[in-house]
Amino acid sequence: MLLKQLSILVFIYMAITTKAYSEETWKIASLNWPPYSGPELAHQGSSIKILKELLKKNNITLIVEFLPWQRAKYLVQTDPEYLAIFPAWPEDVFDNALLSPAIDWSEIGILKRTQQALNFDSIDELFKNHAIGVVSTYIYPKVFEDAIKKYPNQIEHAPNEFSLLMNFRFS
Amino acid sequence: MKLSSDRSSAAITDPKVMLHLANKEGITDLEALFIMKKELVMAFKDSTENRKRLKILTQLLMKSDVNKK
Repeated sequence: MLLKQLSILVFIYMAITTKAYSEETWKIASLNWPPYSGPELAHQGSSIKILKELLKKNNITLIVEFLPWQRAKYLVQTDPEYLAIFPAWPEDVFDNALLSPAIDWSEIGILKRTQQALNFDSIDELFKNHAIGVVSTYIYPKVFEDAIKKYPNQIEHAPNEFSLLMNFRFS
Repeated sequence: MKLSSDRSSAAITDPKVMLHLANKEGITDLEALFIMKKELVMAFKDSTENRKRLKILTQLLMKSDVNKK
């Protein structure tokens, strides 16, 4: 009986210590960017869900803190508590960042009012002839960054997508 | 000279994000013109430990099919 109890104790001890050594926690900084990431979304967003499930296969627990994007990028560079930022466009990171392969995919598009005509044959022509709203804290792919620099008077900067949306609502 | 009385006639961003927010706000007259797909990556601060973590993540991604879109 004593031997059996001892065996159970040894088994429990081994289970606990094995778990402690095999589990790792990664803390990352993210942004509120629905549906990809956000504290109030199911599974904290579709991209966060993919990453969590992926890391779980290696017994890695993901902790996500949601911050304004600039703050997230700053903290990862200055606070050792944060390992990385996610989800990020490869252009929109920080100096000397180590980039993973694609974990999820987003889209970049042009948003307009349904009833509004928007005629253009190129990104350059779009920016040349129309007022364009952009999120000021994002670094866009080169084709857009070039146009933003070329036509600064056409650009309306917004701090986030919600502000961009409000510009449409009240225009 | 800015056009259209200081209001954007178009916005450049991820349409899914804007349409998600528009839906929450009850705005239904927005439409998106698709331009490109864009990968979403994890950006680590460069350190020896994070290089190991990136290797683990890359191996996990190679075994899965999440990035094969």
